[in-house]
Amino acid sequence: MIKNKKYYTIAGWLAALYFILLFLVPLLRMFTLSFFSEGKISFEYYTTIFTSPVYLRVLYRTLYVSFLVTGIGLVIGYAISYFISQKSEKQQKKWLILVLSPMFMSLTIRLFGWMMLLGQEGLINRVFSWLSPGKDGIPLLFSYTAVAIGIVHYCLPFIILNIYASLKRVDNALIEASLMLGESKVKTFWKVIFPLSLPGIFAAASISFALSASTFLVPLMLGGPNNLFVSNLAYNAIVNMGDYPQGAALSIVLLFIVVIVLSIISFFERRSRIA
Amino acid sequence: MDRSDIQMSSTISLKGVKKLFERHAVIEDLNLQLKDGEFLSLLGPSGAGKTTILRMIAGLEYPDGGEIRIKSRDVSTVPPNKRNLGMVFQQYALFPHMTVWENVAYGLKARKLKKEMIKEKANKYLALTGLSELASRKPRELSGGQQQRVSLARALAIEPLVMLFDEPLSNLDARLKDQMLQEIHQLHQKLKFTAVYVTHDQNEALFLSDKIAVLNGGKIEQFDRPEMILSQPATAFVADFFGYTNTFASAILKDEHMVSISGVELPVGYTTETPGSSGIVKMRENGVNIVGNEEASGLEPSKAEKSIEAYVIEARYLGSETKLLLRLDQEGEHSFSVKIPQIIRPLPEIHSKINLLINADYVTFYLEE
Repeated sequence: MIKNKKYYTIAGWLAALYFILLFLVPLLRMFTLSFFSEGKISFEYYTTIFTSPVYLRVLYRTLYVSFLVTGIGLVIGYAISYFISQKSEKQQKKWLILVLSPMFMSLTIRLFGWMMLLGQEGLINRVFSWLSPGKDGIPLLFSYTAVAIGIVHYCLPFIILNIYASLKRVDNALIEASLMLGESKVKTFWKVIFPLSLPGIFAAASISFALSASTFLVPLMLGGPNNLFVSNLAYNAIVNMGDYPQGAALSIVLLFIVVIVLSIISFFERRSRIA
Repeated sequence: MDRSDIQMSSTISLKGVKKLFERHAVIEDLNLQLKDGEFLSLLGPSGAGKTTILRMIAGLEYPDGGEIRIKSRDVSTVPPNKRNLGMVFQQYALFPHMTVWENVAYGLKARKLKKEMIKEKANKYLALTGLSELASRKPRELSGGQQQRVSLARALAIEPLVMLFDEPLSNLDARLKDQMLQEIHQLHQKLKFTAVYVTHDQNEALFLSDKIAVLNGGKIEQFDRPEMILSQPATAFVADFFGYTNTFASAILKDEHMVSISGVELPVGYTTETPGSSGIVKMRENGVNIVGNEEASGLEPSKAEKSIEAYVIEARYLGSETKLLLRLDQEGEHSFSVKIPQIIRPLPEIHSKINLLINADYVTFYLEE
């Protein structure tokens, strides 16, 4: 036992070291980088972000779409999670595998799939033109909507996993108790099941928002040049223009906003747990 | 509860109730009647179907045949929220996000009563269960016993037609269990609710019930008052469940009061079989004494008792009793154990022969199963 304990301590330190070296150090480097201009401490790069209409618009878009997508994802995800949780144990496993299966595939490939579905000659537009011949197809690809659809698709498995787990934790006896006390099934859902699944909803919201706000691939592939996110700008600054400090500053701003939003969500999550 | 308009007919009636589980009948042709205000226990080992019966009465499961009537209304297909029954769950099933008061008021709010009415009733039942002080606490701040009392108050508050109990005391320790038994009994005396109580503990059933249904394999072995079940267990299974733990095989019933086991004659207190039939004898561990020890035990020799010889296999003390493992014959085919309610000094020697007084009331005879 003692030997085992030692082993775990060493393993823990190795993990910590790995985390510090490969995650914290680069992050700190980014942080310092964004505050230095020609060897002097400067807020130049931050001033640029908050005075440039382009940057501000992209920042706004990133946050707006992230909130929107999180909201839509939660509604769809809750419905699917509830549906699965009502199935028999055996069926639940099958449905979960089905829901999570996209995660076993590269996001790039999945997004190519969406490009084919949403494109000018894609399935959706073909169905549309078949329904109303003569009219032009709707420009779906390279739009706001396409990005939102893509991110919902990307986040949904994470949302479902969290909400499903919290729904599973609601003791069936509580539902039975509510019915025995004379409450209908619908009221039982709103008075017992939903409040008790709130921790899962908040956890799902956190993950969904963090993933949305930091996504790089989805706006790039489905949004086109007019629907970029902050992460795309940071990439451009660093890779295309070699402007490391500007890219770093963009990343730090994004990180800062995401951390604030997550703190707010986790504040509500803690309150819902105590409740 | 306003009970003046309730007639003394059956409150609960189960007729030919059947329940399948994966196409296999777990309950078949079950019949049960319970009068208003009676306390019924469904007693049996796990898998006997007692919880299934309770859940069918509750509406949490539906029968695959037969009918269930509550107050002469056929509820066989009525959902649980339309049956007006109170249920106390094994794991309490309190709503963790609500206070004690909100838990107790839950069913009253569901009935859309007026605010003052909800307040009045919730407070009344909180007081009855001694919870008034804890009304604003959350369930997780309460002990197990307190949680079960909230569950009781919550079910009573809706003033249900029947109170259902699903092994409510099985999660409590022995001391709390006794206390809660007492409380449930007193509440029943006071409120005179009709109750169905599921348990695997014969002591709980005996303590609380007006009637006990002993279940085995989805069938009722005996349905009777506690004293009848204790003194006249209908089957060997019931006898075994109520402490007739000794079994003698290949016994022959001589007459209504005498049975012969390999030539040894034992008095029999209860049997429904005809003389001459062969079967098994069940005997309690207590109600036996050693000849010469009667005065100390207060067990006077009477015509109900008969002295027999037995051989000692083992003798040990057990608390304030003496436990003896004996056999009727020297070969040791018919061994049995008895508890003498004193500390016998010195312990009888192993292989020695002793004379036993047997109380016929503790011996029963059944046909071979």
